[in-house]
Amino acid sequence: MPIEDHHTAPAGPVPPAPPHPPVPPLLDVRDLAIRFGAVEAVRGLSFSVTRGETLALVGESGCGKSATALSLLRLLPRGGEVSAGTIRFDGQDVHKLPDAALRRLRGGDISMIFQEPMSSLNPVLTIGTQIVEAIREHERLSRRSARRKAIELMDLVRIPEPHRRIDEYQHVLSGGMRQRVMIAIAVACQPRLLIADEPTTALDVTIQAQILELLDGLRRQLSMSLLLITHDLGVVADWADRVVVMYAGRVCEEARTELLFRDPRHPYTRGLMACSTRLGRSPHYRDGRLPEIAGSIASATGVAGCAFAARCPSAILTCRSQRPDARPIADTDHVLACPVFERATSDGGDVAFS
Amino acid sequence: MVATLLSVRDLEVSYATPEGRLRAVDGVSFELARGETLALVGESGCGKSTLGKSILCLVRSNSGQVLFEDTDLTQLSRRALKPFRKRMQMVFQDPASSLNPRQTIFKLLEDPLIVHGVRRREERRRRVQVAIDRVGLPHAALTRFPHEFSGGQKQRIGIARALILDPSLIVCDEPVSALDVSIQAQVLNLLVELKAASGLSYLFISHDLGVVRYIADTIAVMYLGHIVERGPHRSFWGHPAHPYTRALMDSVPGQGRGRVAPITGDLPNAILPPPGCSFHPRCPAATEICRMVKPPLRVIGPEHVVACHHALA
Repeated sequence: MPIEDHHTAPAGPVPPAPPHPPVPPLLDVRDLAIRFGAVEAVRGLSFSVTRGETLALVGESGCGKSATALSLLRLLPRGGEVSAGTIRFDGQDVHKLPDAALRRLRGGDISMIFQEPMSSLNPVLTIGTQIVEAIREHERLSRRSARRKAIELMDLVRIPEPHRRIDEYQHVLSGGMRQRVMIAIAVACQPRLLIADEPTTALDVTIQAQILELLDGLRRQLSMSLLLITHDLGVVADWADRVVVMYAGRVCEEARTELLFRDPRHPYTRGLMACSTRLGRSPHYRDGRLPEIAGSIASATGVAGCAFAARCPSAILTCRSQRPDARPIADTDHVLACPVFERATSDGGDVAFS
Repeated sequence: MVATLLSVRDLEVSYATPEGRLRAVDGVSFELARGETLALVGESGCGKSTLGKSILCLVRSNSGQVLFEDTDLTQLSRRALKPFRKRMQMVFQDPASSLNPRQTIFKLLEDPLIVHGVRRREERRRRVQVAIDRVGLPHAALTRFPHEFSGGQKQRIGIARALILDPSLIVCDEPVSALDVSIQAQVLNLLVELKAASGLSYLFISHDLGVVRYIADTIAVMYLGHIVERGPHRSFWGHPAHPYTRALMDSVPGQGRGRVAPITGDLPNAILPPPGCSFHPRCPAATEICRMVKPPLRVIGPEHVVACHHALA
């Protein structure tokens, strides 16, 4: 069956700006800072998600991507707080919403799924009970009609034999099936934004492909936007419209997916791409070493300049003293926080990773 | 002709479960040469970790042989096994939980030497220092505790501990899966360097085909306790023959292909595996014979074998 692909942005030159002011983005995050005590997990983070698109937040552990996701729904754990910036969803400031409106937002307009479906589901309740609970939290439905809707949702996320499975407990389900249950709960109330935090990291590779395909299908079917949080550049390349690369709580680079992979500018983005073992281009050890990024991932707390400078093969003196701001390259939608590579072209000034 | 270090023949390992016997490893055979890296690839529950542990006799097998330089380890008592233990070591997936948090790095590395009877303290100190040098950590690390290190550094310590007894074989069970991408490359390069320097063999257990493509000389794909395909690097990646192997390869993200998952469904119940070819319920090419007859491993190229009725030679 041919599937119409609304996904990829048309290649080639950017069309001229429309005469009317553009529709404001669905989610707009400006200058976000998140602190855990003295530790600054995120600082000066800005990005937006437009209607119907998939935006990927990419980075390694500790880069602040999960804290960012949690802050969008005011779900930061105790000790964590948004210390600056605004988060607007559909024009409303999420952090100024009264509690009742916040509850409607969570699981209503914005839903979230996590890496570990095992620990997100309640082991002593049937999966049906948990889907019904989510539905009835937001919709005035009788138990009977909510149960009918739960079965429809299980069918929507392609769980075989939903009539039977609805009365089962999570421990009899496989990891992939559990994640499908989580997705059913997440889309129960037709959210406009689905936040997926490493949704396939704990799954086997053949199941990973199935879940990503499902998420992308649902995005189109239900006209949702998807905020995909991942460490996997392969997942990003296949499924995201735009990408925000984060390092130590800050944006390094943001671009349309196709452009980012064609013309990555930030030394960290380039390093990540170079050292990812990927099927298509991966060398064999007899042909030489894998490129690597030296050193370990550091926190940006207390660092005066660029947080990546200590590992960066192209760092110049000012990188260690002046923190680079993320800004558009020559009025394009390609955002970069690296003064060294702002002017370099894709083939000039190549970054050498030992 | 390369010397064979390890030869596994018809190995079978099963676990008793409330629902019946689970054959985690069901008649597996392969050989590993000195200096070779054999990767065992497969999804969770395919038996790859059980196979790794049964080779080290950490899990006892029900039948079959594990010949380490012509000695069948499965027939040895615990005491007789001890001299072989130091020749075969293991590196685990999660370095944080495989290092005792209350021991200094020096103590962690020294312990295996004490267990295996290195009596002179000076000799132990020297060997600990050599091991920490080989994995690229400073001597200052020796007085510190595991929590003071990052994930990548902890894995280096795990590797140093595996190296300290100068083994011939290291079973690496998902050694880089818990690490960030930029750190994975460092650890993979280290493993390659160590092998080149001392002629080690690795049994490299992984679900990550990208990693396996880089590190392995020979690749074996497991599905429900069986090896369904095995071949040397060039032939395996150039001509993958089993439909499951191809599905695994096509499932790896980042290949920019269509947005259709190559296979549907989950792994079947391993206690009641499907009759015939155990992959047939998920196989796009399955026919009548696949449902009836279990396919044997057939040679389809030099050193390249596949268990599929429809694979072409």
